Amino acid sequence: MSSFLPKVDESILVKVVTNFENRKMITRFCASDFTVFSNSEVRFSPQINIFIGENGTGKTHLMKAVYSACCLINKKIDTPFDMKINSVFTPDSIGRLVRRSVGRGSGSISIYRKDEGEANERSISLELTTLNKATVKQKAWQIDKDVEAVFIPVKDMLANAPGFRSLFSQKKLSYEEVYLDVIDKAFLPAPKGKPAPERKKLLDILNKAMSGKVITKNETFYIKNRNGELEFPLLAEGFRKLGLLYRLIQNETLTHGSMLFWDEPEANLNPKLSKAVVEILIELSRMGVQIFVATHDYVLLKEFDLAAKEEDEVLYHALFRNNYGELQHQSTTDIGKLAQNSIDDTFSRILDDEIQKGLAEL
Amino acid sequence: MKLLLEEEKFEFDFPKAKALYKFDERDINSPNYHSAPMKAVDVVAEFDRFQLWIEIKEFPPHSIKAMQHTKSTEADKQPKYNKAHLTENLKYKFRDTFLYRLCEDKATKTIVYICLTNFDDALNSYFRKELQNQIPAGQVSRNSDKHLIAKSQVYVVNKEAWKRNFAEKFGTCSKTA
Repeated sequence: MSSFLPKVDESILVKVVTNFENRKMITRFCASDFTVFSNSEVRFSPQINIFIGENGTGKTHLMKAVYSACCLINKKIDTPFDMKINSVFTPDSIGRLVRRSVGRGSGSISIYRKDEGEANERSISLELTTLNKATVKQKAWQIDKDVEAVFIPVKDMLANAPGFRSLFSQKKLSYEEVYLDVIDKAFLPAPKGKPAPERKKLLDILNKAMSGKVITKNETFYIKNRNGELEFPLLAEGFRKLGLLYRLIQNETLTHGSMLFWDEPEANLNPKLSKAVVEILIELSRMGVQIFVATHDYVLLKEFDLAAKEEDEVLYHALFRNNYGELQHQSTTDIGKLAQNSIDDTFSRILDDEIQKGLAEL
Repeated sequence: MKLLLEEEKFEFDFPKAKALYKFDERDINSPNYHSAPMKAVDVVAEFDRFQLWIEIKEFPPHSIKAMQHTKSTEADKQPKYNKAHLTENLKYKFRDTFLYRLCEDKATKTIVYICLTNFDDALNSYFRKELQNQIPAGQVSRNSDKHLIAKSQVYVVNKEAWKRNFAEKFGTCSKTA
């Protein structure tokens, strides 16, 4: 099977691993027969992780699993890991998260993290069977400290915020819990006083991109600028996404030690705004936020490649299927070294089609 | 038929070509000398029904990054790393080569203009579109049915895209050590 794996530059991985020491961070994700994963171990950068791959290669599943684990770091949260996973993935029954195969089976996931100054990894794991048996194990995963994890899903829900939370709590909505979680986070009040300079810098970038700032009244979000207040449902969806990011920065949900998971930031966003988004994500990572992004977008990838400096640890993870249909991955800090890049492959295919159309005329 | 470009470190091997030569020849004693004040494409290959004009444009990685930036201080400092500059350069290379070929009575066969870069396919798609818009393609005026080049015969490719698309039809191009 190893012959299907693209050659990974080991020196790059070593560099990332050695820099794990001084950051509080999620270090790796291991999965065995879980959803689309047969047997995978993905190691993360302490700063920025970008997942690319065709549909159905597990980008969102990986991020949701890690996010679910991150939501439970604080000791005060008594939701069991299997319950959180169930709420975030919303399968018909939890046993359906085991990778499909003939007969009964089992699967597992483990998420590892290292806290600042610690030599050993902490972990949380979940074993599942197709008969819906779930076993959770943890090794010092929970601590007596607030750790914020944010998952921004593909669809914007801030415009639907009024009433969403109460309907959700009455179980009248069958949305994945990530939608409720992110609305809850967006509603957290901003601290009083002026924001710190590095935070103000990010808010200014968003102010400029959205031509206004975000305010809340009752359960409704508005963009406020010199022309007055505009409620979120009247805004373009791309601006609503920036508005959500604005709130999460303004209320300090995204701060040193927190984790941000963003599924397809490019959805509904004009490519011109990608530069601002990438600029903010890189600044957040420098502030100590660990970033996880899944994307299908060439522009977003290029913006990361252009904006990141050498000291910014951007790790690209390509998820793909080998000739047997098994899921594999390659991680590298050099996007040019990705052997499987479905986004570039698509551009190549389009260029080839154009060329062949021209050559047919000769 | 083979051609080795020592300076550019490229080798072309076109088995079906009737002629293959360095066009941008600066040696005054060479039969393919084209005087310096005008621009010229690097290579011309003549086939039965068409002719290839090949221009090689390879850039160091930092300059490619500069080109991809909408506003780049590097591109401002060095105009050759500016996207518009590159497209203009390619346009003038085409125009001047066309004049040379016209005077040599060799502008008769269909022209295929290929710019060989080290950009990725997405950036090459962008440059192809830009170049197609810059070069007057199709009928040049209402008073003539002649044309310079068909829009579809302007290509911007890297080595890999060449291999995928042109190797079988024209022949190979490879980088020499």
